[in-house]
Amino acid sequence: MKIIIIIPAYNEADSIVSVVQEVIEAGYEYVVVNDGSKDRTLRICEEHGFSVLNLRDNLGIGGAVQSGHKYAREQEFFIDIQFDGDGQHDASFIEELIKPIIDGEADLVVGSRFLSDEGGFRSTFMRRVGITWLSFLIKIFGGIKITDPTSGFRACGPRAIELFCREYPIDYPEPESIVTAIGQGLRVKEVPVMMRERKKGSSSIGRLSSMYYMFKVSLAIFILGITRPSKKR
Amino acid sequence: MFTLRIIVIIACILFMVLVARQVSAGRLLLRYSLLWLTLTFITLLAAIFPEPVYMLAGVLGFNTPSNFVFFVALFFLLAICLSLSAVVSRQSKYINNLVQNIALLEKKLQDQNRNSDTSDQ
Repeated sequence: MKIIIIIPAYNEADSIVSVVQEVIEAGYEYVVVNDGSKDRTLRICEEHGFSVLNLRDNLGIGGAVQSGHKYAREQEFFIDIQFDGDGQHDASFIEELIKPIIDGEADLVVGSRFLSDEGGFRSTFMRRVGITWLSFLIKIFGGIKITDPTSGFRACGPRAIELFCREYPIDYPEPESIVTAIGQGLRVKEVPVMMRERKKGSSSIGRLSSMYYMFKVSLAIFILGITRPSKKR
Repeated sequence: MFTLRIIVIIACILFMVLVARQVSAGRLLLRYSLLWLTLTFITLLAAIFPEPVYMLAGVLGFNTPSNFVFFVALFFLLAICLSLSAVVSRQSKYINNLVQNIALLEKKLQDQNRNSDTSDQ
């Protein structure tokens, strides 16, 4: 069963080598998606002979991950896994992440920080408030409880890959794409994972833009929610 | 009223010339110029034959014809702005796909080169 790890990277020169080595050691195929980084990310990847999908311009996390999905589809991978390039995610959880897809129980599996009591890094208080709100919205409009909608540690089966190649939100894509997936009748499931605090680099969501982020994502979910019944193909 | 109509007529003609020159210089696509030309043409008609405008304004309950003209103009500009946003959105999508496809092609080329290198050895 062909499985590939998609590693989106924007200005991750400091962490990309250790992240890719972690994935290689875990025994998976991978592709780094360099999202028009302005630092030495691309150069470092080439020096190490990493497999890189190089976007000439910065498309944002959504565009980067989507090109990973397109690559997975083109190369006929059965499952692809989004695994951030900043060292937040732990490759030892990949096996549990893909299990529901292999067992045929889910099309999209989200790695959640909040499902188990085991600790690990769980984000700041304000961010958790936002996450709770998004969970609530997804529950209302999607009818499914997702405890960690902004998680960027996710696995996609064939149906999800196909859908996300066709349509994937450009910026801040995770919560919105969950609702899209539910709306298209895909089975979304969560499994508990632990995350590390980001060593270097900053979140794709800055402090200033976090209000805009919440508003935009809420609006997107709202619009998807109210147009869903007629949009079903 | 008469001088106002003359001014509007002159402004419309100038605007049409401006749009036509932009198109011929290749700075504006014909398909996007049509919208502006049509709008200007309607304004021109209204300036030459204002009676229907007066009548419509009265029927629709506007106090003065100028209010009616402002209202219609504002409405059209909003519609044009919305259509421009739609154009920009479509183009962002195209660019997104283009950048992705170039990256995929480059990756394919690289992989092929790498394969042929190893098979040469």
